[in-house]
Amino acid sequence: MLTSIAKIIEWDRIETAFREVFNRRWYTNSGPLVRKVEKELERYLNAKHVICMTNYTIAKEIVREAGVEDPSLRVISLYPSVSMIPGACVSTDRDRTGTLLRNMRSSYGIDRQMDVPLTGNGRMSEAQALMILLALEKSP
Amino acid sequence: MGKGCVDDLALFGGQPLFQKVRPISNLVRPDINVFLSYLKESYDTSYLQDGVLVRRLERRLEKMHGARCVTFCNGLWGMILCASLLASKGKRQVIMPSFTYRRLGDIAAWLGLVPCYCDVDPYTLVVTPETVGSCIGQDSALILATQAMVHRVDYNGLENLARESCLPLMIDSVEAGYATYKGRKVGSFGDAECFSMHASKLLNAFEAGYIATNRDDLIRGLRRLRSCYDMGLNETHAAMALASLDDLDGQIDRNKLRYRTYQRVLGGVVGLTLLEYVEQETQCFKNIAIRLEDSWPLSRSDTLDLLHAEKMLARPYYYPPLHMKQTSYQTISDDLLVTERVSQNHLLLPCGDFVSLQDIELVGEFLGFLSVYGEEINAYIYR
Repeated sequence: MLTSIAKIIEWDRIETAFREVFNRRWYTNSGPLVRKVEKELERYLNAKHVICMTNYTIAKEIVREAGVEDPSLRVISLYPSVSMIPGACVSTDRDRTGTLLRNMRSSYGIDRQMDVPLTGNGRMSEAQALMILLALEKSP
Repeated sequence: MGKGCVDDLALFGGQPLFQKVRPISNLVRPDINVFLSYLKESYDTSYLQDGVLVRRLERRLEKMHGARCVTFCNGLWGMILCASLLASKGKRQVIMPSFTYRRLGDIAAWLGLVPCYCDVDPYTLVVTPETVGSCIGQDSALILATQAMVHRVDYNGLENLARESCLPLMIDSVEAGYATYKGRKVGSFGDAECFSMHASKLLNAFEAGYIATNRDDLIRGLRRLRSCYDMGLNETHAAMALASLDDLDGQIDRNKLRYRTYQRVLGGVVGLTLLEYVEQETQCFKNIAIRLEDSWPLSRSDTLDLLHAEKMLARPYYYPPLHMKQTSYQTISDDLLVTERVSQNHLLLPCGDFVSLQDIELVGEFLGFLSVYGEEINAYIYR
């Protein structure tokens, strides 16, 4: 289970991490930090797929519109239980659900293209991902 | 290195013109120290929780647009919430261009409304009072106009049409941020104007958006919905937007220099036309769009393949148009002849902070080469 691990992250750690983001110049659109968060959360949640989303509302709306029946599907808010700023994720053990939700989130970060009912612009930024990773660093 | 003969083209095995990709996205990087100083302030006072930077950003945006502003976690959801408040109740159709941002139809669909696609002007590539007017019917709920990459809508004409038709007017003005229309700041027209602050836009806030309006009832409604649905902007993204705003004048200067260089290097290239900004107005000069004329010797598809092989990430300008895409939801469109024509012969060239003036010289030289050797290149491609 992903229990509450929210802690105040030291400023120096935040500053260093943001300097790295600025050096990469990759700000959003399924960047390396978002992909890393997804991998980390797959491990924490013991889920086959984790798809990061902007926030809990958008994640819920996208899942509702996807209309899939998938008992493994979960929508999880990462704020304030994990991150100091809003963010959310969806987890599933089914490949098709994962692909569908990635396609509905945005055209960036998809594993393969799939026709979707709607797109929801639910991307998580590198800044949001960074704050989650810093929190996960401090977790037991 | 420039191209001396057709064999030098990267598509045919030559060395690419650029080592790294030259994008069409703005991707402005504000000063990291300015960004961190904003963020630190919020961190020190409230551990990024209180919204002090969001409120400051909204005041700064209000000054820029001469209108009240409400920020959101991203542009699309700001537009969805705004449209939900503006659309006439009991009516279903949202009139919008087909030649536009690829997700625009989804905004109506999220609300259970139906996109009704209208045509655009062949030169400015924006909707006009005539093209919108021809779509207005008893089931019209909202006019959703969008700015083109270079040209601006006829605000006065659309406002008059909206008033006469008793329809709300919402404008996606992200490509016109910072601009003026007849000397008045963009952001203060219609019932509301919408702006994205995605990293590729004029203001890079990682991800964000805002609505500008002078209607007090709309401001109240937007704030209420933002709060109800937790669609607010976070402090980190607000810090980025503030740092981008601090750099805005510098960015406009850099954009203008790039645009001026494109004007010069493309001026002598036969078969293509640079879409020029109306310089009597304030402009952001961010996008570089060209039209391939009938005299251009290559198809647009082949032109794009040739540019991509040289690591220039040129893109078709809004293609395919929305009425030609298959969707899961109902759409309405008549014959959109202009849209179908202009969607075939325009493209966007590399721009933004990843593109130097020297790069632009090379892009111009390369397009000049394609213009001169087009027939020979065609013979290679279709041999």
